[in-house]
Order: sequence, then structure tokens, then C-alpha cells
Amino acid sequence: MVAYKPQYYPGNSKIAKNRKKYLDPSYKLKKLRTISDDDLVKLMGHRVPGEAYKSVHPPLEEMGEPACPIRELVEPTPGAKAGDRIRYIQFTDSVYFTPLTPYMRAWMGHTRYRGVDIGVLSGRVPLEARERDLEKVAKELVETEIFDPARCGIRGATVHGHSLRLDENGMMFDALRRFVFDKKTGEVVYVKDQIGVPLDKPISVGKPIKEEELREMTSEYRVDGVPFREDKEMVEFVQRLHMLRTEAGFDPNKVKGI
Amino acid sequence: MATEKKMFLEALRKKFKESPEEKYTKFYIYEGWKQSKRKKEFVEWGTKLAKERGIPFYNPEMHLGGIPLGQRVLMPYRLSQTDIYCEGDDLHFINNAAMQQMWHDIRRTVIVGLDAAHMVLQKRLGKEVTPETVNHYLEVLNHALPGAAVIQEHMVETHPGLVSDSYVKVFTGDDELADEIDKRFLIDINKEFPADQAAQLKAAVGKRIYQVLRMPTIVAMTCDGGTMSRWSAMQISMSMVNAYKLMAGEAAIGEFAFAAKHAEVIEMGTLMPWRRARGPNEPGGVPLGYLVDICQASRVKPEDPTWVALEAISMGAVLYDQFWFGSYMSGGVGFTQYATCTYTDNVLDDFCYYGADYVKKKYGGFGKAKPSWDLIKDIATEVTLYGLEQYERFPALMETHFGGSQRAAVVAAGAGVAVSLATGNSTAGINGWYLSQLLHKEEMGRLGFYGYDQQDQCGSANSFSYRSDEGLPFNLRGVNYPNYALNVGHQSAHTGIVQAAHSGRGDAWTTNPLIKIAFADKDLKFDFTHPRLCFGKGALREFMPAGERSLIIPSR
Amino acid sequence: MAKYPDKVDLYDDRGRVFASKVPVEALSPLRNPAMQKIISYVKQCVSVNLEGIEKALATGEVGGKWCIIRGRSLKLDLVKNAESIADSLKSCLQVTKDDDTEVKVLKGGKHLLVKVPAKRLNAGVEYTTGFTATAAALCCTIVENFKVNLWDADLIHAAVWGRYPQTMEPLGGNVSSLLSVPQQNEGMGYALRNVPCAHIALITKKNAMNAAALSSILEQAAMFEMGDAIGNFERLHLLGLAYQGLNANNLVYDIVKENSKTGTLGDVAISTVKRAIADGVIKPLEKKPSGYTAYTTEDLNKWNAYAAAGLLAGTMVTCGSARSMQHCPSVFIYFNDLIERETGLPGVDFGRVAGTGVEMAFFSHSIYGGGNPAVFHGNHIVTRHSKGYAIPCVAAAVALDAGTVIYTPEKISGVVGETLSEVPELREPLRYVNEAAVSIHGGI
Repeated sequence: MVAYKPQYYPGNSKIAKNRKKYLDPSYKLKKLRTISDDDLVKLMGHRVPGEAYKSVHPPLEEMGEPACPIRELVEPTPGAKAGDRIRYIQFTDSVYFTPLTPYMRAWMGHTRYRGVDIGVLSGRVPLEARERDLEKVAKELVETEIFDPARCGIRGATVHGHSLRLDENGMMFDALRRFVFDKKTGEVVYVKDQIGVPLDKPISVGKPIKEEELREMTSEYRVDGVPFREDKEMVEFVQRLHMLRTEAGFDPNKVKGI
Repeated sequence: MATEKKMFLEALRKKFKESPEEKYTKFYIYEGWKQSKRKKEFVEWGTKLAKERGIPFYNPEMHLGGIPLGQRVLMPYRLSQTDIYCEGDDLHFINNAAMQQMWHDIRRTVIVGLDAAHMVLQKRLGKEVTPETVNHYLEVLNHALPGAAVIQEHMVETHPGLVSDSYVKVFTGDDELADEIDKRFLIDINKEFPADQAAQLKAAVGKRIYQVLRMPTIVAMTCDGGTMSRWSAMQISMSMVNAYKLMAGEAAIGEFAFAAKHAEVIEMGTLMPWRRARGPNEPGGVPLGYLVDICQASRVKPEDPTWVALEAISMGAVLYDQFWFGSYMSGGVGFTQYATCTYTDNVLDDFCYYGADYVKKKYGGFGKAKPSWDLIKDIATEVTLYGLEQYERFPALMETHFGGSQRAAVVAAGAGVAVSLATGNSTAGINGWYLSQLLHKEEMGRLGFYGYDQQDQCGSANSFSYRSDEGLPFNLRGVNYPNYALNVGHQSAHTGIVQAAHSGRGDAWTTNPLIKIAFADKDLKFDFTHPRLCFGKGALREFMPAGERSLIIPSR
Repeated sequence: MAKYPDKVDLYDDRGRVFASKVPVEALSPLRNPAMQKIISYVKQCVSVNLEGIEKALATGEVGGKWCIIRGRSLKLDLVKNAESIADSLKSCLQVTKDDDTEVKVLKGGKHLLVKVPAKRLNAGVEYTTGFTATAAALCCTIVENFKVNLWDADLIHAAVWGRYPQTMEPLGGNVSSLLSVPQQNEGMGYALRNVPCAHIALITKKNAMNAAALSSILEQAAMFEMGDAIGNFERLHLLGLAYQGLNANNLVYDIVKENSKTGTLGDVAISTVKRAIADGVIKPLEKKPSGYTAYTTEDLNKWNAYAAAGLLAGTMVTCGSARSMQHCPSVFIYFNDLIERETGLPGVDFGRVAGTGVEMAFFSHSIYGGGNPAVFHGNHIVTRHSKGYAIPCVAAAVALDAGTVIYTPEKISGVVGETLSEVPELREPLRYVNEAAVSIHGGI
């Protein structure tokens, strides 16, 4: 096998480089804050901290598996082994210079985590996994540089806010007001879990990242930041992909060396 | 285009009463639904009716466990290129009689050729057919079509007060014959169309003569689309028997019925497979090109092909997104919020005129360039990036189109319409749309709802494919086309891509000349020349529809 | 004489080489005798739920959920007499004594596996003969063997055929075929695409390699029937079937193995690219200012086959590690997004699998939805867009699920999947197709 260095992402701009960096699992995401395991569990709201994981089927070893060479080959995740339910965490990312865009969440999720199910909409990204696996993934998603407390939201339903203007504290809109800005501490505090059920105690997710820093960290092209049209390599990349797909649909045999 | 010239700014200022460039605002201070006149009306009615019926009813406190709609501005909408502002609720088809009537007018229309019937009369039955006999037959049919008896001696009939919008007219490309038809029955091509369009249409129709039959709106409301050709065929056949004094049960009559029910019939929509399970003359079977030809904007303002495309788009939004996907297919009620993006607030108008100007400047006018990769890449990329940049420049615009699917549809529509205008080729236009979607996904790193870009991912490869169920000139595709059959938020703008390819060329019709002529009819209830204005009248409750029932129900 | 120069090595489901340098056309539904048998068996083989008929007659519950006809019932010991019913049914279906009719009694008489003789199908033009002949012969058999009188015959009909012909399909009936009625087909040539993945997973006893193979054979055979795999497009589908569905050159198995312990979907995409470069399928086109290398190919059909194999491997690694079927649409979108951004080349089926994934993600995860992946098949407005490359992965994902869903494959499939797993060619298609390919190798 030839030596091959994965490329992950094309493009010749700060944004493209950020995208590439986040997609590359060999890049360790910077930890910016600590959320305790229990608080994270509360934020997600699938179980009470300390409560055992609920099962959707018996542990694999107990139930036995069909004779399948792929099952023999592919190591199940710890959650799958135990028979955990599949649960979710869902994020909303504002259009205003957040570290990740929705598609970035999916691409990055699939380069960094095993056994995850990620969906993308314009204003939210659900990530589902076996519960104990999910908690591990969620920890990194909330504690590191890819999460801004003010412009990213952990929201199960009534997620909207991504495209709305920011409020007077620089916070993304949230119809359920799950999170609030604590003017005393300057921190963002969750008063409801992701689905909107009030928490018994507020959970701080830390201070918002400053806009000038976000502008450096973001993976969003914007005309008031790094305009997409200035990243000619990206524009041409997409144009070529479209041309190749179109030509292939007409006749795949004619697509040679282009 | 300088900021001041942006077409959408005026609406944005009225919607938010703040600078459209402002990035910060206040939320949670608007008293929820109470900020909306319409929602207040709903609450009033809901409360009253809940008491009357004894079952709980409309109650905004049920929303999100007590957190009502309106945590931010419940913004009004401007019907594009009109001065009409309304609330979003007024654009739901249940709340808008003009939208209902647009669909009913389409569904209740059937076109049936008369020449075959005349041949049967002359060759098999030895009857003479003259303009006089045709006029007589049309008079009989105008009596019968709404539901009256013509040859029976004891028969129930429909109340004329309930079916007065039902009638038959004819048209022909033969000026001499047209001259001899009673004007009350004639769709006069020379009168309804600009001279160059009339010439194109008459050349297409030739000496043939066609009937345009409108079944009563109340039938369109209570029966299905498949009813229409059957209803018209029964009345046609019986009127023939009456007008030409025929024996009702002889074998030749079977040929009338065959002509009227099958051979000479053009319905607006074809039937669909089991999973869509709808018969003829339902929205899913109406191809894009037919809907465009039903729209009559092209004959009233041919000098502005972009406006013509935008008017057609509004009909696509209502028929395909609000009726078809929004209710028929999904059973949902919420698609209006989404679909309005293409015909409100002058946003798509701004993007389309930007593209049109770009095409005029760079390619010397409309329909002058052949499709090529250089052209599609150039135009679609420029219009796409222009559109995306407007959202980024004007936070109020981003907030107006708060769902990514809206932005994706509007931006790609601008790109597709521009490529269509440049090339006069709607399939090239849709390929430009698909490039736009891929650029949008990469630029914003987000696009539409969960299932939004299914057709956009398949779209590049399927634009010019010629395999079994992949290839088709874009005019003939519709919401039953495989990639489009469960994919809301696209076909409204697709309508404009078809229209722009032809309005840019100065074509009198896009796909079917008979349909274009059939809807050039001032007696239709809906105004197909200005659909957006008409929807606006519906929103303001100034539109009077057909489908009257007050004659047969207790007065309120 | 071979039309195409391509030759592949054949492997079994455990990555063991079976034969080398076999012309890819030996794996074509037009040439491979085992595939033709499989397709024929799909038409010929029908399952009968004798126990269901017995219960329906006893209770008068016929023709669909909660249709209980008051005052009508019939007590017949069908299960106890399954052997004699099978004998009578066989002789009723047989055209000649030595033909290929088979009626097998399963589960102590509760079920029958019926193979209608090919001669009956050959004498008609519709694939429904397997179903209609069985249902009709069964009615005759029950009426005759149990001396059912004039007044009760309609109940027998309803217990066997369900509510048909008031309905289009045999709603609530007890004879089942893998194929649905023609009216349910999305378009011309779609019949073989209308087999839910639940059936496929159960027929192949949840062996993911065989599930993918059987599904791929049915989907790609449908491509020939639809008119898609012909002329300029035939080789595209032949290579897709060989590499994705039939593990040609052990590509699928190798990539899964490479990523079996810790691999992510992203790692699978990279393994696929590495293999394509190593095998000379793709090569660098140009280096961009950022240092990014755009790739090109002289053989887009083969690149598509490699990507399709990678897609299946990605499904096996992702759904396999989670032991869950629901992940597969996410795999369809993001495997393709990742491999396109890695290479600059189009993903599987040139965007169509990604498009299918988008809609399938929506419909398997939202209120607009249509259930879990086990109910999915290629004859649906959500899934028909990919021409044969998505559904085999869904079948594999369903096979790998450890029990995460309420509507399990067993519940969805009912009797059919289990019964048809008695047919060796359907249960272990890789083995039989490989053997058949070798047997005709010389002929090609």
C-alpha cells in the first residue's frame, strides 16, 4: 500500500484550513471548559446522573449473535456491547461565526467518532449513538473549542435561532430560553435541559468566546468575514465536482482524465 | 446593485422596524401572539367556538407547554411587486380564497378537441356541421355542462346559483372560423395575446377547433380531479345528441364518448403511481410546463421576462409546495411558512433581476447564448454568491428567510432563472440550480431541512441523463418526476426556470399552446395574469371565489 | 467472447479466495446461472402460512386488521394435515410429474414453502404467477380435501387471498411472495426493487455479506430490467455489482477488516481512496495552491465500483460497530461527502447515493417518516434514486442490528423471510454465484 496522507478538505483560505483542521482526527481539539459528567447527563436529559444505562436489548454476549463474518470482524462499541438505547444530543449553530457549521458537525463527527448517526438540517444537527458512547462524544463536543456557549445551543426541539440576529447580550435566539446570559458572572447558564425541561440547578457552560476569536476559529465563510468567492480553489472545487457528476450522468465512459 | 436599490429593503424595514443591517436585536418582549392581529382573531374565534362545540379548540397556550408563538417579531409579508402586506396566516391556502380558486380553476378545466366529433357527425351520421350548428351546440352545452338535462324527460338538475362558473368556450387558429363563432363562446387569440404571440399560437393550432370546459367549482371542491373529464364527457355527448338530433343509443355515439373521454382530451394533470395514488387533474400530475402555460403573465408584460417568471413561480409555490407537498403528500399544515419565500418581500425578485442584468450585460441579452460549462459555471456561481452575500450583509434578510430551505430555494432559483434567461434552455437552467445548491452547501456549510437536498445531490447527474427514469426535458418534469416526488421547496422556483427559458426568447407558450390559450379567459375567477396580486387580494379578503353554498344552507 | 476486459478475483463471505481472474461478465444477471436461479426463485417461491389460514377460518377474522365477520367461521385442522395438503397442493401445481414443483412442510406444518413450476411462469408474462397459482391451488386443495361446501368457499378465499379483489393487494391474506403486486411498482422494471430489507436480512440469516450480495443481485438485476444497465451504462453496473455486492477482489472485506477495531467512517473513506490509488484506479490530476491534490481517473466506472465497495464497508463498520441499522442513511451522505472532499471525484452513483441518503435520513428520522431501515427497499420515492448502490448497504445494516428497533425485521417480514431462507441459493448467494461464475468462466 502506498504511503498516503489524508487531505480531508480542499481550499486555500483560513476557513478552509479551519475546516480541514477540525476534520483531521489527528488534531486534538482544544479543551476550553469543563462540564462535569453529571451536568452533561442532566443537560441531555436521557437519564438521571448515577442511574444505570437502560437497555434496548440484552448485552451481546448474553444474547448471542447470528453467524456473520462482519459481526465477528467489527468490534462493537462499548454501548453496543452492553445493549444501550440509542439516544441523542442536538446542536444549533448560529450563522454568526460559530466554530462549526452543520455539515462540519457531520463531517467531523464521522472522522472522529465511531458508530455515530448524524443528521444535518440548516439549523440543527442531531447526533445519535449508544448512550454511553454518546456521553463520551458529547463531552468533547461541549468542552472544546468547537462549542461557543452563546452562539451554539444544545437543543432537542424548537431549535430555531441559527439565522436570527443575536440578542443584546450576543446570545442566539431560543424560543424556550433554555440558556440565559448571567450578567454577574459573564457566563452562559442552562436553566432547562435540551428538550426544555427545567433543571433543578442551573448549569454553567462558561463565558462566550469573543467575536474576534470566533472569527479566527470559525468554519463559516461570510461576506463580512472571509468571503467564499475569494477562496477560488473552493469555488472551482465545487464547480468541477458538479461538472463531473453531470458528465458522469450523461456518460461515465467519457469522463477520463478531467 | 447599490444597497439603496436592493428590492427587498423596503419590506425588511416594515417587517422589523429596524435597520436591515443591524446584527443585534431584542427578543421575548413582543407579548407572544398578541402582537398579531390575525392570531388575536384566531384566539377570539377559537374561544367562542370551543364554548359552542364543547370540545377544546384553538388555544395558543397549548404551544410548547405555555410558551406561545411570537417570542420574536411575528413578521408581516409583502406580496412581491405589489403594495400588499399581510400576515403569514393569510397566505395559508385554507385562509386564502384566491389560492383555493387558482387550484379549482386549474382542476376544473378540461380541453377537448371538437374536430373528431365533427368527423363522426359528418362521416358516420351524415350531419352537416356549420358555424351555426357549432354555435347552437355550444349554447346547448352551456346549459348542460353545469349540470342540466338536455335529452331526458324526468331528471334532477343542479341549482344554477351554485354552478354559475361552469361554461364552455372554444378557440381556433383559423381567423375566418373564429369570426363566425358567437363571441360569447370564443377565446379570441387575436384579442387576448400580443400580435407576435397570437401569430405563434394560431400557427400551432391551425384550423382545428378546441373546446375549453370549466366544470363547476363546487364539483372541483367536492369530487376529485378524475371527475372532470368524465363530467365534461357526459355533458358533451348528451349535448351532441341534443344539438344534432342523434339517436342516443347507436354505436356511433360511442365514438363521441371515446373522443370526449379519451382520444381528444387534454387534462391538466396525469395520474400517478400507487404510492402517490392520485388520479388525473390533481396537482402532482401537472407538469411544470403546463403550470407555466396556465400562468398568463407572459401575455400581459412580455417585455419583462423576469417578472413573467416570478409570477409563474408564485403559482408553483402555491400549487406544488402549499397544496401538493404541504397537504396532499405530507398531511402537514406548516409548509406555507416555507413556501412564501419565493413570492414575498421582493427577495427572489432582487436576485432574479440581478441575474437578468448580469446576463444582459455579459451575454448580450436573453436567449442569445448556447449552454456551455463556462456559461453555467459563470452565471450560476455569480448569482448564487450574490444571493448568499445579501443574507450575510443584511441580518434582517437572513431572519426573514429563517429556514435554510428557503434560502436554498431562493438563491438557486435566482441562479436557475438566470441560466434559463441566458440560454433559452430550461434543462440548462435546472443544471445551474443544482450547481447553486452545491455551492450553497459548501459556502454556508448548511443547506435545507433534513431531506431538502435529495434531488440536488442527484440533480447534477440527472440533469442531462437519458436513462429510463432520469432524463426528460425540464418542461415536462413535475412533482411526479422521481427525484422531485417528495421534495418540497423546489418546484415553485422550478416553474420560473421553465418560464424564464421561454419568456427570455419571447415565446408565446412553453410547453402546450392549447393550455396557454385555454387560460387566456377573463371569465375565470382567478386572475392568471397577475397571480401574486390576486393572492394578495385573497390575503386581504378582497377576493370573491366561486363555490357558493349559501343558497342551500341556513343563513348565519 | 467477453464484451468487457475486466477480470476479478472471487472471494467468499469470510475473505477467502475462491477463484482468480474471472471475467466480470460471469457475474452478470444476464449470464450467471445462479443469479438467474435466484431471480427465478424470487418469482417461483411463495410462502404459505397454514396456521394463519386455520386461525382466520376459526375466527372469521379475514381481509385485514379487525375485519371480523360475525357469524362466520370454519374449523379445519390444516396444520395437523399439512403433509396431505402439501401433497395435494404439489400435484395441483405440477404441470408434469418431473417438473420443478416443490412444496416443503416447515415448522411442524405451520408453514409451507412452495416453489411453483417454471413452466407455469413461462406460460404467462407476469411475475405474479407464483402467488396466484399458489393461492388458487391452495383454495382448490382446501375445498377438495376438507369438503368445503358452496356456502363456505368465500371464507376460504378470504383466508387465503385476503381482501383481494376489493383491494389491489391480498390484504390480510396468508400467502406471501417477496414481490408485491405490479401496481405497487414505482415504474417500469421496478419489481425486483420492491423487496424490503427485512426479508433480505432474514433470508440470509443476518449474514451481512450475503444480505448485501442478495440485495445487490436483485437491485442490479432490476437495473437491467429497467433499461438502465445497457449500452454505455452496462459496465458501470457490472462493476458495481461485482465490487460492492459480491466482494470482488475482497475489496469490501479488506476495507472492513482494516477498520474493524477502531475505524471511523472517515477512516473507511480514506482506506478506499488508498486502495484506489494503489490499484491505479485514480491518480493525481493537479496540486492546488493550498497543497490539496485533486484526483482524476481514466475509468470512472471502476472508481464508482471502488467507492460503492467503500460505502458498503463504511456501513458495515459504522452500523456494525453500533450494531444498529439506523445509521445507514448518515453513512450514505457523509461517506460520499468525505470521499468527494478527499479526492475531488464524484461519490457513489455520482451524487445519487448521497441524495438517497438525504431523503432516507429524513424519512427514517422524522415525523414525515416511513419507519426504520428494515422496511426500506429500492421501490420507493425516497430510495429509487440510487441505481442499485444504496439498498445493499441498507440490507447489510439491517442484518447487523442487534435489536435496537421495535418493528424488528422479524415483525416486518412475518413468515416470508424465514420460509425463504430454506432456499440455499437465496440464503447463501455469494457461494452459489461464485460457483456459477466459475462454471461459465470458459464460456466467456
